[in-house]
Amino acid sequence: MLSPWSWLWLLLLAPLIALYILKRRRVERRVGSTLLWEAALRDLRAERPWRRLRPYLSLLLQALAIVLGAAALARPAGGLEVPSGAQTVVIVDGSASMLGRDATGRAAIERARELVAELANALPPGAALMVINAGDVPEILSPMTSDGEALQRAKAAIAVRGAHADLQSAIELGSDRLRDAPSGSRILVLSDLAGEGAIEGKGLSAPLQVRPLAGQVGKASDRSNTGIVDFEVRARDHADARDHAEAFVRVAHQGSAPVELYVTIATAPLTGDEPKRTLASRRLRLQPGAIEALSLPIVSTPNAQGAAPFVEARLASVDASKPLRDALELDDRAFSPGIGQSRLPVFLIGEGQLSLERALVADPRVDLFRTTLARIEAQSAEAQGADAEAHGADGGPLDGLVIYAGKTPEAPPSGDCVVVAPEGDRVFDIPLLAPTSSEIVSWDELDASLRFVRLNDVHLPPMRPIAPSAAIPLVQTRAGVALARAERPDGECTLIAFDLDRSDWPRRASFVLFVRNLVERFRERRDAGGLAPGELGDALAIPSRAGQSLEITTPAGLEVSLRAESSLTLFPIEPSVGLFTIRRDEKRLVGIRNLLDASETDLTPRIRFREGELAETEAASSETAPVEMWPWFALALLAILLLETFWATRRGAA
Amino acid sequence: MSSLLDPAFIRRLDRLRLLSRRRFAGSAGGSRASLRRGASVELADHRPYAHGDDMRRIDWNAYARLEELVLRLYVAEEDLVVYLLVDTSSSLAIGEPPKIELAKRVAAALGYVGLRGNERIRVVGFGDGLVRYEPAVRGQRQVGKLLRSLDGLTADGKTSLVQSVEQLLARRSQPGLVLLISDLLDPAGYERPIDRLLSERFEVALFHILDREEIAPASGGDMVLVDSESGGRVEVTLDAEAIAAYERRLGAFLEGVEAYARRRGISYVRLTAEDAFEELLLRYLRSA
Repeated sequence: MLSPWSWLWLLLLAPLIALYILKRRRVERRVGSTLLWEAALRDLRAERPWRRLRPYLSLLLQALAIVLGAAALARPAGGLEVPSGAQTVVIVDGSASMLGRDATGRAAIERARELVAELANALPPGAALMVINAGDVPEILSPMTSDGEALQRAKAAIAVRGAHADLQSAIELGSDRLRDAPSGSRILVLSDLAGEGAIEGKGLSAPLQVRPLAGQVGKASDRSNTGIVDFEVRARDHADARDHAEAFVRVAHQGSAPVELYVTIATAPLTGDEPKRTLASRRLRLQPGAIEALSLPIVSTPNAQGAAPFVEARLASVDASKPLRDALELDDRAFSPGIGQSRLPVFLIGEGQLSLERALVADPRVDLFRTTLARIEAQSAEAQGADAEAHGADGGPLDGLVIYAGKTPEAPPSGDCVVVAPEGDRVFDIPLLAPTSSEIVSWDELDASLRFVRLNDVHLPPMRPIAPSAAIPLVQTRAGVALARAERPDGECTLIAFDLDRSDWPRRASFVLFVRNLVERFRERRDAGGLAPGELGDALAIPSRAGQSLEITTPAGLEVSLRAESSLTLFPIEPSVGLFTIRRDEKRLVGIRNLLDASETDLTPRIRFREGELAETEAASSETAPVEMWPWFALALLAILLLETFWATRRGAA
Repeated sequence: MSSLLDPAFIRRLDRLRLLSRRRFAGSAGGSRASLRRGASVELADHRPYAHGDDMRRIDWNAYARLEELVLRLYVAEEDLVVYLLVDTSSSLAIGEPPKIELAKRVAAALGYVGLRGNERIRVVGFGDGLVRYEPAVRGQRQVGKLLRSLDGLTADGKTSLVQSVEQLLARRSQPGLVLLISDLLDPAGYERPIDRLLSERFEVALFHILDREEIAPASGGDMVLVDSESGGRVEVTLDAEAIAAYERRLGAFLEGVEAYARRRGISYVRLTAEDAFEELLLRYLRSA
C-alpha cells in the first residue's frame, strides 16, 4: 500500500490533462468528403480496438509516468508498511520462547529480525522507526530514526534477552516515545505470544498492533516442544551415605501428539579433564499438555577436592542415533549443583564466643578452624593473599565460612561471613549505634536463618545496635537492631550485635537451630558455585576487586578475559543454558543458567490483548513478505518515458 | 475562346460526336434518329393508307403485290438533348487544381462535341439541388455561350444528387443524354438518382472526377480531416495503416461504381487532373 501523502503527486495529472487539452492542435486538412475516411477508421477500430486510444496514447503515457513516479516516491512495499511521515515503534519480544523453531526450522526471533529489516528498507520518506528489544527491562536498540544503517545495526542486535520479556513495559516505553508523534504512528509488537497474561492496549498514545510470529493467538502452535521445567538435586537423609541424593525433574510436553523420550541425569564436568558420568536415566512417555515429575536416586560423589560435582538433566531421543527434535532446545537441558561436599570449613577468628564454637563443633559436617585476625593478616602479607596455606577446595585464603568474634578487618572478605559482638563504631562501613541495653521486640520469622527460631524469652546483654538503614534487620530490640544481614555482591554478612556468651540465647534450642541455619545457608550458596543464581540470560554478577583478572568460560567453550574495574563485575551473557565458569585469581566460581519455566516451554500463542486501539495483523503464515517495490516503479517510469519519446518523435507524429 | 478548351484539343474534337445508345424523341429536326416517324431515308414501317395521307408516300410496289394501298413510314431524324450535369458542390473545390476546373473542362469538351453534332446542350449545375439550369443551346455558334455558362459555375454547398435529379425531372425535362460529371461523394449515394434517370428514359454517362490526394493521400501524422461540405471533422493519424485502410475503402468504392455502371450499361470514365483527361475523353467519344 502507498502512503496517502504520495497520492498528492497525482495532482500533477490535472495540469497535464489541462495542458494536453489546451496544447493539442491537430493539423487540419480539408477533404472532399470524410465518408471514406470514417469508414476506413471504423475498419481499423474493428481490426485493432486499441487504435481508438492512439490519439491519446501520448497523454496516457505521460499520465502513467506521473502515476509511476508518485508510486515510486511513495516507496511502496507489500506486507508491512509504514505510512509516510509516521513513526513506528517496533517492539521485539526477547523472551526465550522466541528461539523456538517452526516446522521450517526458522526461529521466531529470526523472523522478527527479517521483519525489522524489511520495515527499515520499506521506510517511506519522512517516516521513522524505533526498535525496542523487550526483556526484563526494555532495551532501545535504535532511537526514532530513518537512518538505514542504524536500523540495520538495531536489527542485528535483536536477541533473546532472557527467560521472560516484559512486553507491557516495552509497550509503555514505546507509547511514551510516541506521545507527540504525528497521526498514523503506531506501536508494532513482534512476538510469538508464548506466555501468560494479557497486554493492556488502552491508554496508549498510538494504536497498538501485534504481529504474531508463530501462528494465531489461541490456536495450537505447530511448534511442538518438550522441556524440563524444574530440576533440583536434594540430599537424601542418610547418615552413612551423605553423597546419596535425589534428582527431582519435571518435564512438560506441548504438542499435538504424545512423545517418548529419555530423561538422563549425568555429572556436568567443569573442565574437559573430568569424565562425564551418567548417574540415572528413565524412559518417559508424555501426552500433549502433560507435566510429568520424576525422582531419580543418584550418587553425587565429591571430586578429589571434596567439592560436589554439578549435575545435568538432559532430554534425549529414545533412538540414540537421533537427536531429540523439538522446537526449543534451551529447555532440553538443565543444570543443578550437586549435594554439598562432605565437610564444610568454618573459620572462627578472634577470642571468646565459646557457645558459638560449641554449636559449630556439634555439627558433624563442619570442620572448625580457630585463628586470630592478626595471624591471618600476617599470612596474607607473606603470601600476598594466596599461598600454600589455602584451605579451600580451589585454593585461596579461607575458603569457608568466616566468623569474626569482636574485631573485624576494614574490608569484608570475599564470600559470606558472620560477625559477633563487633568492636568499634563501624563494621564494614555499617555504623553501630551507642551502647545500650534493650529487649527483643520482634524478629523476622520468614528469614531462612531464623527458620523455626523463637526468641520471645531471650535476654540480651548491653550492646551497640546496628544502624537499621545499613542492613536488613532480622531481630529488633527497643533500642535498635540486634541481628541483621548486610548483602554484598560477593557475599553476605550476618551481624550479631551482642556477645552470645553473655546472653541466655545459647542455652536455648533456638540458638542451635540458628547456627545450623547459618551453616546450611552458606553451604547452599557455596554449592551453587559462589555466584548468585540467575535466570537464563541474566548477566553474571562477579564479586571482584578493581584490577583483578577474570577469565570467563561460557557453556559453548568461549573464553573471555577481562579486568575488573570495581567490586562487582557485571558480565552480560548470551541466553544459553549451562555452566559459566569464572576463574578469579586462583579461585573458581560457577554461574548456573537454566530455562526452567513452564510458560516458556509451552510455545502456544496465549498472550491476550485487552481492549484498546488494538488491530491484530494477520498471522505470519498468511502474510505477504514485504518487498521493496520502488526501484521497479522507477524502472517502469523510465521505460514509459522512453516509449513516450519514441512515440512523440516517430515518423508522421504531429 | 475560353481557357476550358485549347485549340489543339478542339481540332481533335471536331471529328467526334456524342455517343447515344438509345433513341430519343427530339424537339427539332436533327441528324439523329428519333423515336418519331419522319422524313428521313430510313424506312421504319408500313401502314394502311387512310384518307388524308400523303399520296406521295404510298408504296406502289406493295400495291402491285398486295392490291392494297399501304403507306411507307420513315424514321424521323431529330436532334439529341444533352444535359451537362455538373457537380458544383464544395467537394469539387478540393484539389490542386480544384476538381471543379477539371469538371468544367470535361463539360466544355463534351458540350463542344455536342454542339458540333447539332445537339441541343443544356448546362445544369447541381449541388444539394439544381443551382444552374441554363437554357439549351444548339449549333456551333453557341459554343461561346456554352463556355460562358460553364465558366460561371463555382463549387459551393452540399451534394444531393437525389434532390438534384428530382428537380431536373420536375422541370419536365425532355429525356436525353445526361453527362453526369461528379465526384459521386454524396452521403445519400449515387445509385438511386441515376436509376431514377434511367427509369425516366434518360441515358447516363458518368464522368467521375477525383483528386490525386483522394486517390493516394499523403501521410501527415495526427490530423483533423474536415469535410468540405458538412464541416464534419474526423481525427485520424495518417500513418501507413490508416492510409492503407482508406485505400481499401476507396478501392471498394470505385469498384462499386464501375460494377454499377456495367450493370446499368452506363459509360463510366474516371478522371483526375493528373490524367491525360483529353485522351480518356477522346477514347470515350470515339467509342461512339
